Amino acid sequence: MGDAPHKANKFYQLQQKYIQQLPNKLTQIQQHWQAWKTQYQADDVEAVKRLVHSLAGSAGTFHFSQLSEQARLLEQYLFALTTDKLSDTQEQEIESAFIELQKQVEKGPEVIVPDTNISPASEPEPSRPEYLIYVVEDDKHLAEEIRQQLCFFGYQVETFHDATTALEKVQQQLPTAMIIDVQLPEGELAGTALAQHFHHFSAQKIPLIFISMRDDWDARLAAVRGGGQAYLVKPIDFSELLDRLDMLTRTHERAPFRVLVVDDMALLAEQYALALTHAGMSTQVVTDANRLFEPLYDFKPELILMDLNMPHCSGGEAAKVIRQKEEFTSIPIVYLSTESNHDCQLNAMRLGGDDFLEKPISNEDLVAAVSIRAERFRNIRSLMNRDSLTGLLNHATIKTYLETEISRLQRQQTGHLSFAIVDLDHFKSVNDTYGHPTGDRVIKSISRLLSQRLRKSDLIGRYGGEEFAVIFPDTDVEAAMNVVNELRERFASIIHVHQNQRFSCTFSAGIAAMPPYQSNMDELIRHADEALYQAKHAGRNRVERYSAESVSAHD
Amino acid sequence: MSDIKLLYVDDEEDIREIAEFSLEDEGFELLLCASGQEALDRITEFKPDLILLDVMMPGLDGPSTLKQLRQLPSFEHTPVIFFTAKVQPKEIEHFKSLGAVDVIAKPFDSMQLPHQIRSIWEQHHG
Repeated sequence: MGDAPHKANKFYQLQQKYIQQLPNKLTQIQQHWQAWKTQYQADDVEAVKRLVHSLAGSAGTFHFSQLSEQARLLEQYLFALTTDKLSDTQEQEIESAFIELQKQVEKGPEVIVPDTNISPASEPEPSRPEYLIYVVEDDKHLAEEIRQQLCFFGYQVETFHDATTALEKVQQQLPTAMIIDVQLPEGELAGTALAQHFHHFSAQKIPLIFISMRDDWDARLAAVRGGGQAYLVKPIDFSELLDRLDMLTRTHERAPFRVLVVDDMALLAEQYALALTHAGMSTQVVTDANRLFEPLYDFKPELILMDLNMPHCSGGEAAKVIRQKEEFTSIPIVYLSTESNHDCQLNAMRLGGDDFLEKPISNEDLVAAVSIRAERFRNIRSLMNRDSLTGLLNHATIKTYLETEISRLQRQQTGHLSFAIVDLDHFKSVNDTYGHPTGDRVIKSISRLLSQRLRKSDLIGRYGGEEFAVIFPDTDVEAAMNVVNELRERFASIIHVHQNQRFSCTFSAGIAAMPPYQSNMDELIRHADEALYQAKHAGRNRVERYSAESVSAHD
Repeated sequence: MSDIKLLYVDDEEDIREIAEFSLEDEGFELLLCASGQEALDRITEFKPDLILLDVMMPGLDGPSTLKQLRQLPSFEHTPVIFFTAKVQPKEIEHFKSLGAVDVIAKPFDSMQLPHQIRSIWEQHHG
């Protein structure tokens, strides 16, 4: 193996040399391009193709991977041309691709010096449990209580009773987040001082939540300076603590925005898609507007980016066709066009577009315009389909999903489906005793428990005030019973706090399942309801499954 | 393990340099050539174990160079790897039908290139 520092240094020199030559390479392409446009010499055409090809093949090695990808798109376009005499549109496309190459050159390389190959197989990252939380709290009783409460919601928790041991552990393994008491055995503000130490050995920002007896300015300011993202005053409201923790640790779970790019100019479309992909979005390209329906259903875009001037079907016409379908009436359509005439733009909007972007557009502007609109669409859709207090699916939506699942099973005549209705026990008395805000927090805590403990494929809805519905696809009734029973036990152990009063709640649940495949949705819901009634009747805090005999015995 | 004698043909100087950098001290004895013609002129003297051949070159391109060197008496069976930016699965098949044992894609990762070449060599030498 070579001498690693020497190699890194050598690479740096070669890379610098390449960077210096890049402008010259672009100039050469430009010169042959100008000649191609005016004289159509075969030599110039060949030269442009060869130089672009060579750029595509070399830039990535020097850590200009986006330049490589852009050059590759242009290369593919050039090699697909059937004639050297180009139309105006083709010339425009090629020239806008040159602008893109120029921009990538100006941006510089993605990595200046590569990882040296001291160990070619890079060492695996130290494993990090998904939701590991450190609690630094000198009150051992409280520390243990926080540990227990967080464990119910799928967090893995380690407790420490002073700053010194916590600091030692952090140096070995970084947690997902930390909960720190401001006051520790080491001093009045030892917790915040501890937090400041983290900056020395971790570039990564660990989310910090401070807890404290103190509600004064000095303590709060010290927490801010220690990098705390939340500050909770004792007695700890666990539901608030969990809210904050969820917010700080689960943000990365957002799926990428799905954007459908529709442009008859394949090269441009690919360029837009590439820019959006680099910004973390998921994209699909359609070059023929007549073939839009398939990706609309399969890819389920959250935004359509559409060229206004396409040969066989204009962007406006395509938008109108899309809008004829009820399920696509609200999907944002953003037009892209060279049209700078204001009236034309307005006219395009009348045809069902939501916005208008003028070509040429920089990648940064494109990414910003698209992500803002996709985000808004996602929020609106979530408002329509989800319950505002809990974020679970609302009554209508969960029923729609149930219907879909049932008809899938009826079609296949094989497989399993379980459906559970979960109802809080004596919830009215919680509201009467502690008030509605506390009642709402109990609702939120069961919602959180359901969404965190169930699988991603399970669908959870708020079915009524204190009633929840869960669809378990591919799950037989025994498995569903086990899962719901485990949830029931966990939920009963959760401590809710109202001022200084502590209380716990329970729920009852009824489960109905398929097969039999002849059940329709109303029957399945009624059966789950009947099983729930059994559970309540038998003393609450239990889970019952529907069976035809037990019901008839009651009738 | 003895060094693999590798003949590398590429018309682009910056790529030749970075490839040389990437392969030095990695168990290769290298001969770099800037054109297909140069490779044909010097191959008999160097007697490579393995040849890495850029596809798109002015003058003699990769496939034509391969065709000509196959007519030289000692190099009918020397394994040849094509080195190219275009690697659709269909194209890989096409290049293999021309007599190459494998294809390495450009742009390449300078840390990986030695390992890629060595693993192809291990599959095909002898």
